[in-house]
Amino acid sequence: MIVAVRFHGLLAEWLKVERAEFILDEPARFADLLAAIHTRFHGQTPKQLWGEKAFARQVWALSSKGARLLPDEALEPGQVISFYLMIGGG
Amino acid sequence: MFGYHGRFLEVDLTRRQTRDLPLTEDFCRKFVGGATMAAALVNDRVAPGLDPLGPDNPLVMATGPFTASPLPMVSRYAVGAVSPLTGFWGEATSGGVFPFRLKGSGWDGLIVTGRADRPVYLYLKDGVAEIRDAQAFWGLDSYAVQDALKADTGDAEASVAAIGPAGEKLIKYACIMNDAGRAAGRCGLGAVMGSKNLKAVAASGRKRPPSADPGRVAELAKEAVSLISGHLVSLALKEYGTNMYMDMGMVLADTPARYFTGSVFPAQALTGQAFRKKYRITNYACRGCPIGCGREVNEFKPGLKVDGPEYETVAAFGPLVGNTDLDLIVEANHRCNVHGVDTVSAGVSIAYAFYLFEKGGLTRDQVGFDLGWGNGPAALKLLDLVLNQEGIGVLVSQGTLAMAKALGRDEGEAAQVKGLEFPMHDVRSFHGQALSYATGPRGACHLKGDYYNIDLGNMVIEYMILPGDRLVSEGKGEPAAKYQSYKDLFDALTLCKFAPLEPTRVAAMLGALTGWAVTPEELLAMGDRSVTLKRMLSAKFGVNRSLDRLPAICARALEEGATAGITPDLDRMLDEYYAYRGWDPATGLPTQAKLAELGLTAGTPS
Ligand code: SF4
Repeated sequence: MIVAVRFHGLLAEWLKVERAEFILDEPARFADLLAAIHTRFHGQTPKQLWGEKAFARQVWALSSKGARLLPDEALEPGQVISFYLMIGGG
Repeated sequence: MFGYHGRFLEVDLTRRQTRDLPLTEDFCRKFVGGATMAAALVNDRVAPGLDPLGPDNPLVMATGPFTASPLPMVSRYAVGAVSPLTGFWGEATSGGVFPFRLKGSGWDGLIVTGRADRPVYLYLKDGVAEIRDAQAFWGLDSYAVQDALKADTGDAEASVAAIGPAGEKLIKYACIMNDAGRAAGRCGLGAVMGSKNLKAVAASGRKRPPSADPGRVAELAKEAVSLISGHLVSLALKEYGTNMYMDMGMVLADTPARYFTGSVFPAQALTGQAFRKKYRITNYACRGCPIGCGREVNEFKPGLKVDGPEYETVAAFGPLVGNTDLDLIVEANHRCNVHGVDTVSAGVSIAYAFYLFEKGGLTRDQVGFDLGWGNGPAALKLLDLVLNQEGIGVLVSQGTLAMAKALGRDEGEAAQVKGLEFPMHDVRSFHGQALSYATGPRGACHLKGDYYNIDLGNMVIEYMILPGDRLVSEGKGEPAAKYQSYKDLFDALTLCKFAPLEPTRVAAMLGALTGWAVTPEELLAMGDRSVTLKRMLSAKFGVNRSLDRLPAICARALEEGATAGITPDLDRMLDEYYAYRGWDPATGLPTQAKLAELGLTAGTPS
């Protein structure tokens, strides 16, 4: 199945991409998508964006309804998931 | 003694006298330095009924054991006094070069009492203090006066902390500026300086106290630089400054819009990235900082370089008044700096005027022109009235609580806690932040601590301060109290709040500098003592549980955005908070047992 992702703000700037699509085996969980993103993009700096086969914990994924996604959640074909780097400093 | 000079400079401006105030090692270990030591010194010298703008209000500028050491991110100082804006303990901190020079002048800090009969400035260098005439500099803006005093001293290494015209006019949220655009911003301490006819403090010199273990300090400094430089937040701060948070704040409904009545706002043109694309930026750093979060805008107007606004300022003059014009925000920030006012209190007070105008609580006749969401030029015009003390600007310069009272409005409309205006993190978005605001030692404060950062995924594992659900109140009381203590300590040491350093490392640094065997537990106890000391001090001026509350306008559930229908349960968190602190839950004041445990009982010499 195909799942689309959108990277926002700082994350998009650092990854140098705003949108991407991934083909995942069904049934797919959010953790599978994270691993696929890691495989495709983890060469991108800064290295601090990355954890073990996933983003660092400061990167949040939100569904189209605004809820935060957890690794075990099932994905649906055509789903669009937004990623944000959530760090504060002001 | 290591890490300290062991003396403050005491200045009596009425008598034009200075003398040394020796500090014992016990006093230093108990009250550390910076804002905590300032509170201890002020606490001994004030009584209920004090006029914050009278000669008896002591104004303290204090460094800490970290200041001017080889450690990174430590060139900071604290200012403390009874605040003219809130009427109780007020403090503010700033970074730059001035703190380094202040410590280099040969004192750990200074305490100023009395009132000079004409404008003066202090010049401190290598253990010599002079009270100098400043008549010729009165009226200069906060940038011009810094240059003028450097020239007057003829000392190329002198660094200056000064008030602008706002401090001279005793504007309730006037600040103290140093190293061009750095500000000890909050609580109106610039007005306290103005009330003393003290235009500035110029500091210079190379006197630095020895460290107990210089080798270990150097090692810890090297490790810290590498840790800080590689941290994700540091990278973002370096590239975008504090305004990197704007787009995240909007997604999380943490950036308030339209005077706290909304959270959905098109802020794309106001983000850190937009800022960097729009202007030619130069970074600047406090002395010894590997990050450099400050930014200057080159050629903002032909031939004019200005300091760039922080996130707080962009939010306050942006979404909070419904404005999307970034140029206008940079201009507002510049005018606030030139005159020397706190951009948070100024922005929030102006946004309140906008809200009142929308509700019919202020009319065109009263203001002289129309206000209304999105009318950026009107915000700038109103700011000018504040700065020039004209028309409705006189009232708006008193802050939101005074505005509500004067206009006969419900005080729940005033976006403040205990008189200090809300910063730009919405309490509906991070419930732990709600508690930090309600109980903050100086009023609504996002820096003691910045609990939103914890629920974003940062943590202090050693103290079990762990990320949780940001929209849940239960269980936040104790970790928020601990985090408040830990962050309060940063202003005592002094250490920048952006330093991502864990307690064991901070304790090791303090130990290497002073020779004390400090554990992370003692470090937390120092923070607890600091917060409790400030509470006792403020209790003299009427602070208790009844004032640990949030204004309705900022806490009532919104109808839009990611926090729609959500409101923090403050009372539940307060009970947990007082239980951790050992404060009486009925009064919100420290119990005798807790005071004894912290060494703060009456009669204990400080
Ligand atoms: S991060 Fe910013 S405020 Fe902190 S020490 Fe560095 S330059 Fe100064």
